Amino acid sequence: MTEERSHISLFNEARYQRCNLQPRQRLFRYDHCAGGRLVGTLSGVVEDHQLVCGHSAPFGGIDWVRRREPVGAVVELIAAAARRARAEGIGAIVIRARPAYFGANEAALEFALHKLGAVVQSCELSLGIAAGRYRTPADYVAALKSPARNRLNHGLRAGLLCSAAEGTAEWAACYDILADTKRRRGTWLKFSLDYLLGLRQIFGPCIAMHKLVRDGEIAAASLVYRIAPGWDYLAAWGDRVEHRGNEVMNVMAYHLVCEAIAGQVGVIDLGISSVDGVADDGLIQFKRSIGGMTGLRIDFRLSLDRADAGIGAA
Amino acid sequence: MNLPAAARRPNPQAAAHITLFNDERFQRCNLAAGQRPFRYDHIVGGRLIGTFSGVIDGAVLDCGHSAPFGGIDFTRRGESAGAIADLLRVAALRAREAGASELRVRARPGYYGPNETAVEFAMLNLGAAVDACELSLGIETARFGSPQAYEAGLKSSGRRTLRHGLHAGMEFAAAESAAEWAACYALLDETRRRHGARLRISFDYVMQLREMFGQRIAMHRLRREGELAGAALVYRIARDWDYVVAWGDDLRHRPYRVVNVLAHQLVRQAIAQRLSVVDAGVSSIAGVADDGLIHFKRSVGATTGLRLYFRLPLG
Repeated sequence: MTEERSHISLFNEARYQRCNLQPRQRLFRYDHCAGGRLVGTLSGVVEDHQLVCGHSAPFGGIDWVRRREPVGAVVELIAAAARRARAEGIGAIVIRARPAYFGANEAALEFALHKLGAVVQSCELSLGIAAGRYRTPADYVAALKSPARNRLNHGLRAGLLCSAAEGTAEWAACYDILADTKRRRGTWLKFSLDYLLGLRQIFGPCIAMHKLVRDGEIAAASLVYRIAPGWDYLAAWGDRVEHRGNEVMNVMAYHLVCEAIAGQVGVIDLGISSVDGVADDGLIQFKRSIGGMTGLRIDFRLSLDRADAGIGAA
Repeated sequence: MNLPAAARRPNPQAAAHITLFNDERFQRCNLAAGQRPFRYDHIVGGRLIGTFSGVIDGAVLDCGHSAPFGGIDFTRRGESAGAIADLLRVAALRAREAGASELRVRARPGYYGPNETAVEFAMLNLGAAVDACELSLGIETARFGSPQAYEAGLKSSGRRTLRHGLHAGMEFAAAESAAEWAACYALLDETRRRHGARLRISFDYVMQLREMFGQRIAMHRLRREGELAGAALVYRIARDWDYVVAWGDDLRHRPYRVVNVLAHQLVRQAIAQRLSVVDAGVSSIAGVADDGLIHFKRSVGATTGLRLYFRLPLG
């Protein structure tokens, strides 16, 4: 069934989840149909009687066929999925939800989870660019505040060329820049180059590496997953310190937005800007300056053992 | 540092960022015996970041008391998330010093701007629980440079419905006299009754607010062929935020899409006055969504948000 496959986002894909599956873990999928229509799907991985939606991914979320589902249908999907999970012996569902800038269904999901008695396990700040609001790159530039516009214009004059990384050598060079950027921030890339190339082999151009080249040298790179037809997720980005004077990250953001507009992508998720509930205000300020909207990435936990779980009987 | 009482009082400029529902005058209209207002101004490096206001009732400090919501009032619209977390942390300490053992925050939906999201982030990471959650929809009028841009942003069915209504040639104006206000109030009350509910505020209360806050409390009306066809009670809760307390129509004029036209006129006015949000209110009751109402509000361009009620024990 093409329809059933097409609405599943990358992080909920069985092929993606299988890349990270450990022994004693199994896949779970519940397709919710109402009135003969597929409404959406809750997918995840089960381990030790716990179902995790968004397992080994930045987030999961429910995959909807329509972008603005009636809220009643959202509540029913969660309740029905929970009943199915409980019937399979699952005691709790953890949903790593998408931020609200992904659309109206995300707010409805949060509403449904609160209504059904879910608790918030963790909450991080996340920013994303609503690229769908811009008809042209000029619209995007016009919407920036003047300091960011000035920085972008400065960067655009530096003669940086944006293109996709092609061969393994280019991917490796870009990967090194991303890993180095993370190290400078006291952290590390959570996946290896081999893992990345494995994803690329499975998902093709949905796993993309963009590079900015100046004077024949890669100045910056960004790893972008096309997680759904209208959604891009920026898995990592970074620059070489020696090119920082040319505002390469502002230029990179601009090119990602141009690409999104051309590809009719509505959202570019720029990822989280807090760690363990502590905000990184510098990063937030930068992301806001390039047009990022503030959202939350919330992990909800819905216990199915509680007698008062509001999901009804199986 | 001990300051004289006058120096500790917030200066008049500092009050400009206080929203209507957090305004002490608004809260005093609803204060019962034993309740008292609370206010904490968070100042860092000589700069006022924002204010936590509420009402202390017994051991509970309630932000958004006797109002649809409260929320924290910030002087800037894109405050740093760290400063917001600090404000809430210190406000919680002050609340405890004032005798409260529990903090309740009826927060504003996310479409009011990034500060609201940062408040949710801070509250959840301070350990607050979500006590209740309602769906709320609002039109982000700042996104539209002109009424034409707003219309272009509607889906084709919403645009067609609006054009049909606009052809009816209804006249949009503010209610002026007490008689006009009373007629509009009666229409709003009747609309609520049709939905099996009732207006929670009396006519006298609305007029009292009007007297206190002047044009920030506004009644708009639509007239068709000399008859009142629709009305909307709108509070200007902040410099650039409107809150639709109630709106309704006369069934005889419903074929002319009165509420669609009303929404359009409110948005036109908001764009002209450079407002950023027209809050169309909640569309769920006690956690049960009203999908018909949500569908209507989405059709007039509203964004879906949540009105979250947080509860934070103060230890």
